[in-house]
Amino acid sequence: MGAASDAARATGSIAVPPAPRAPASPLRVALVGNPNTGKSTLFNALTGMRQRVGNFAGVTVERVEGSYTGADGRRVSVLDLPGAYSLDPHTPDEAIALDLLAGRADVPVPDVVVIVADALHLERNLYLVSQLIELGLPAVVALNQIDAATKRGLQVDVVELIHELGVTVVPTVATKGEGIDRLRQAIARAPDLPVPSRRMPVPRVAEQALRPVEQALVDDGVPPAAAGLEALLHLTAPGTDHGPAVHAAVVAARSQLLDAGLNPESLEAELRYGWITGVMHRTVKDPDGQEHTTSDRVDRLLLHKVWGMLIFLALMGIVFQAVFFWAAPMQEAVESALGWAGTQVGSAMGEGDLQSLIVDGVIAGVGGVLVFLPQIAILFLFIGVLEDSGYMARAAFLMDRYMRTVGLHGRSFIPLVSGFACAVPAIMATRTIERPRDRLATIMVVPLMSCSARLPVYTLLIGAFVPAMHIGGFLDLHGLVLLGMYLLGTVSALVVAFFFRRTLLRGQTQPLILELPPYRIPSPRALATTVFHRSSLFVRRAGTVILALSIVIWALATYPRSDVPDGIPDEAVQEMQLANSFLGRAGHAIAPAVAPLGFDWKIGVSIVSSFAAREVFVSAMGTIYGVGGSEDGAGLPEKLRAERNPETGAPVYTLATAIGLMVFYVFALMCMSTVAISIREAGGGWTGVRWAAVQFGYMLALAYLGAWLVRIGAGAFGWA
Amino acid sequence: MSPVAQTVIVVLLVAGAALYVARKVWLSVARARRERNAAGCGADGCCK
Ligand SMILES: Nc1nc2c(ncn2[C@@H]2O[C@H](COP(=O)(O)OP(=O)(O)OP(=O)(O)O)[C@@H](O)[C@H]2O)c(=O)[nH]1
Ligand SMILES: [Mg+2]
Repeated sequence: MGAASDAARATGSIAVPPAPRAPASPLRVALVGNPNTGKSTLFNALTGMRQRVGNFAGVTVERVEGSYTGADGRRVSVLDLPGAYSLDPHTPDEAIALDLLAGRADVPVPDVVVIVADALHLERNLYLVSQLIELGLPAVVALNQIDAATKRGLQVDVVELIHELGVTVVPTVATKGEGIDRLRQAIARAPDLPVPSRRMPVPRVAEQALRPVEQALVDDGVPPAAAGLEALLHLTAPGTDHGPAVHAAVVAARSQLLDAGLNPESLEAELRYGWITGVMHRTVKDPDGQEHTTSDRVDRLLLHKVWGMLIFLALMGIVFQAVFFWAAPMQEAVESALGWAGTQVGSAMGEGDLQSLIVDGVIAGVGGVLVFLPQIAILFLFIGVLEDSGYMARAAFLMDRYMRTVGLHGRSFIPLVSGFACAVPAIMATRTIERPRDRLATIMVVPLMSCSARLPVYTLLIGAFVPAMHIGGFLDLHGLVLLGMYLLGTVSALVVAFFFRRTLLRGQTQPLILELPPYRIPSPRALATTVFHRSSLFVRRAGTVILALSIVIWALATYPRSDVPDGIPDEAVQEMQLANSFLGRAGHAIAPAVAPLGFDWKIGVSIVSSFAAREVFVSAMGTIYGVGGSEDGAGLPEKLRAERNPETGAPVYTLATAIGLMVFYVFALMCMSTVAISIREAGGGWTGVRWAAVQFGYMLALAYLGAWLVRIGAGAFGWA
Repeated sequence: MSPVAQTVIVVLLVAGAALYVARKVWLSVARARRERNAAGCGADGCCK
């Protein structure tokens, strides 16, 4: 740190008199680079934030802002951006970074561009690097993943690279925080250094042909420093954001180039690759050549038509078994802790409304959801391993054929799998899909993938009603039923996508072009951070939204207090109270709507209250049975099993009811956040609202139909 | 704790919770209304 401020003072004192430090506006920095180079990891190291990282292209799909205080005390605001391969965007996520640099975003152009390059794939990275240094903005290159490059035997001559690029190059290992201080110093100094400019040679003819285009662009308001780059870009992609003068100049330049025997379409690429070959030759020593045979061999297995598929299915099976097996002991511990807390509070406080609110509302409601924390943690642990190892992109390749048969793009795979965690980021992940129709079809079906909020509902019902059995010695029936629910969601997503592609969203799909990231052993620290972060989000949600809803539901289930005649048993009193409460009355109004599915009014109100968020189903059930029941200390599953129909005396919950309910939750879109994000990502405004309405409607219809079919089917087999 | 004191606290808690839920609903409706802006789901990468 000391060195940093010394250095800053040194540069300051040579050129300019020590100016009184202005109440400086923050220095605005943007992280730009190819996908999967480590921008977000670097962003986290710089700002101390916990932005999502993963070992595949397209993890970050939106602009994220963070900040730190520089050594000189100045605030530095940092933007993490989605990756891009070149300044000629193909997908909505790529366009975000480029719009920002071109000043088309709703925030100003950054003061310093930190160009993040991956030392392992320097050659490919240099294409964007060479474009970015022509932007005419102060820039610093962060040469990241130096450790991985060194391990593979690559040696990068950093001093030589600085000469070649004409900008500061700082080697970094973002995952270990190496080079971060030096990067901060370089960022602080960059605005005082001469602005970088074009390094690649341009043939004289081309230069002459392009000069009028540059002039026209400058006349049209493009900063002179960036005109050279813009002119080259306009040769291939004649943008519409400039006036007719520019257009005319481009047309003239193209024919002049053709006359000189140069192809205007490929001119930029040829010039840049020519220059890159030279730079690579002078800066990188690669004694082993670019062979990574182990990785290739593993790929041959994992991408194999049959073996790859079997491995994929086995992996998925293991995940679902583990979610049940590993979580069970932890879950029991949480459960008994909650039971203990309930009794303690109950006896310490004495009878009264507050006691009931805390025991039946808060502990039964919020606690009932928190019990599922171990499952959530394990699910995210597995997702983390899949994402960080590099397997995710392989799985996407493997699945491309199947995706294509239903009319989805291979790129849809990663959003769909992300849907197992949460539909909101998954829908945003569709920004990596190029064609709007492919993207929309994916958005429409992503919420059918069972997200982690459904896990509590499934687990509660499976735990209570599916017999614990082992099949063939090692497969656990609980895990299998859970896997079945996930499969039902996944298969329906594909079928519905097929349907959309044949009707509202017709069109051709393109072949999949996706970068295969290097295999990497997931770092335990990073995994622990992810799991902890996701778990704390879950807990925070339980402590805010779910808590508030539980209290409200408790109040609705408790008031108005009705007078009950004396001399009837306690249990019946509570049942009558509940039936007369606001919630009970609403429930009886809802009951006819859910009766065809075999659900009673208690399930009906729980379903309705969970339209805001699915987990609320579990907390509402906890509260309703806490308020209505009297077997103290019994867990929710026991209470559900004991519940009888007051008229017939038959159990309310059978295996068929439980399955029907789960099927309902597989399909129904009960999540306000997802609806909001669908509206935005499907185009916003009324277009977005229309698509979101279609989505909500078809999912609700499927849910109702599915649950009804389960009931009818079960009746036909005689085990209703 | 006396039943009356308990009832008073309960009324406050329930009112607070109801306001919180109402605000959440209001915010997500407002968010749905705002069209495509770049900032989305919060810096943590997921959904509130
Ligand atoms: N070995 C090594 N791995 C790194 C380093 N920096 C990042 N990684 C890994 O590289 C992968 C990609 O990191 P991210 O930070 O998600 O990359 P990104 O550039 O933000 O990717 P996109 O958001 O998809 O554009 C992750 O698996 C990181 O753990 C590094 O310095 N060394
Ligand atoms: Mg990223």
